[in-house]
Amino acid sequence: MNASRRSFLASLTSLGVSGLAPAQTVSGRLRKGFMLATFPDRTLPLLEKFRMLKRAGFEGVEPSNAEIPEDVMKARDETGLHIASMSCGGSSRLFASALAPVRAKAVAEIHTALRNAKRYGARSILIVPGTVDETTTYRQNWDRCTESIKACVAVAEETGVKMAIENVWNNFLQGPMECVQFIDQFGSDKVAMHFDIGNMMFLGWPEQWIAIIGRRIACVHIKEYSRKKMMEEGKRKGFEVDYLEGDNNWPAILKALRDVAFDGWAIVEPAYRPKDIDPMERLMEISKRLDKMLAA
Amino acid sequence: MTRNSSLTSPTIMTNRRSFLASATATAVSSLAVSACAGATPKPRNIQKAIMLGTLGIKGTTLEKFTAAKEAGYDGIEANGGMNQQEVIDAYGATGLKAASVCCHTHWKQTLTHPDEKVREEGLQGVLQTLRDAKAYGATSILVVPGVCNETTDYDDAWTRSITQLKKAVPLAKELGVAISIENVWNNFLLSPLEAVRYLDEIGEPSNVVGWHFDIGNVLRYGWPEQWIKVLGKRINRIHVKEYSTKKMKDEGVWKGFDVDLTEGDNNWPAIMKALDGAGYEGWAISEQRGGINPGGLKMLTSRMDKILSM
Repeated sequence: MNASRRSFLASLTSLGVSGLAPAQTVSGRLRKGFMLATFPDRTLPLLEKFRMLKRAGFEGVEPSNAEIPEDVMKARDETGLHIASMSCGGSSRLFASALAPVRAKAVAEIHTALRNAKRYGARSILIVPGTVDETTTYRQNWDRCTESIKACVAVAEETGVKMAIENVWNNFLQGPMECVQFIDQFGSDKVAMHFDIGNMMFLGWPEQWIAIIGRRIACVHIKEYSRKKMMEEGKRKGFEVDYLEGDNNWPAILKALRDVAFDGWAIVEPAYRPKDIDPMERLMEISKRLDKMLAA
Repeated sequence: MTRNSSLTSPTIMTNRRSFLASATATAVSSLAVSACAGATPKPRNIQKAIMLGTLGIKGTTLEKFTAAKEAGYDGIEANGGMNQQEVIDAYGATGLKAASVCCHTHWKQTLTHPDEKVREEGLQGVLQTLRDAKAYGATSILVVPGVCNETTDYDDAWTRSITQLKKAVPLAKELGVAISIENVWNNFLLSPLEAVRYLDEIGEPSNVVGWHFDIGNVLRYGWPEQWIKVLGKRINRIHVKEYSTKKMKDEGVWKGFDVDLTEGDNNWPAIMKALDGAGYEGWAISEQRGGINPGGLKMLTSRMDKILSM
């Protein structure tokens, strides 16, 4: 066990002594959210999407920062759904642009997103830390994202909204210890992790990453992945599998989340999108499967 | 890892890089002076070798060595734990050199195994490989640093692997043989910055503990030319291997290896340029499918010649 996990457990124990009800973490079900960008029918108006999600049993929504804030507020207030998080992938990917003006624009957009997230009542926003590719090296991506995120920390502190870094297929932060190293360099609890369970399964085991990244996880994306399909059909084909039918060990994942006292949103980002299914029916099915996963 | 641990900070690494950059600049400017005579660029000082495990010729050790020699290789990467005299004789009879020795225990008796007894067996395998290397005249051995899986967590793997390797350091120093860590599909050390951090935590110069860089294994996660730039002087040996990211995407991650040299997605000119930039010299060791008969071996050496002249 590493030192931070040990001291964390020690602090849990002392909390227990001071009277934290164990039921809160042991049987408290995680709240169900839905990433709007993966809504089954993207042509519907925002408010209609919110209403359908409400009907399907979701409690929160993760809109993108491209949505009009007034529309989001209106849909939120009419349905009573919470804004679980706000995805800012499009803006934050440009944190690592080679062009300084583009990086500055990305930083300004995240400042705005943090302020809107505060209005929404969201505790965190989703950040994608650039992309490593043929022209952006690992080192350049690290340095530019670090600089851009640093330029946002003050606004995050001021608004109290966390910037939660998502692990995606951007060829960057490919191990849990490196995620910790990247996040900890900012020395602020307003820089956190938005942990995507399905995205890292080609690299390792979610339950291990959760144990190492620990309390830095502000939010999780619920996503299924099939290593079998990855091996036999192609890396991206691994996503083409419904919830509970891939290689995610949900009981181990939920246990790991409980062990680190995770209390953020469980937001589904269904990568598997079967065709010719009524959107409402699909939402109900996802919601039902999510209940099973969260009860694991 | 604690939040305040003394990790290799990006600042330190940046400083080191700018130091290396200035050192390179000095070297370049002195080269520029001597290059005024208008000489053509110096040919690369790189020799070809093949990993014995990928030499698909059936027969005795000597027969395999002979086939490699006839195909145009200069060296062989034998395995640890073989009949030492037989291997020495095969080197002697063919005149081939010992490019490296590949540890024979690192996949089964991993250095990161949950069972301490197994980890100790793994260490003994590394020590045996070091002794074999000394006997063959090799100055580097290939070691897989461990494996992360359902039962071995990433942070545990980190600690165990470093602990075991540190125990092998005294013998490596005594024999003058480097332990070179290979990047493989072990779910561990998946970024170049982390590879450097791992070596720095062991804290030995690269002629004691360095890197055995496998070009093909990286394409699933990143770009070899970027890894080479970051690892730089820490690279003691390279494995030459092709990978098709197209096949990876369309047919499965293992199928990515099912492609001939120069026909996958390796950007060889960029890779060679990065190796030049790192000042790499010495062995280029083939770990590539295709060496199943004399014709296949010749195909491999001629394709490797092409790569080395890019």
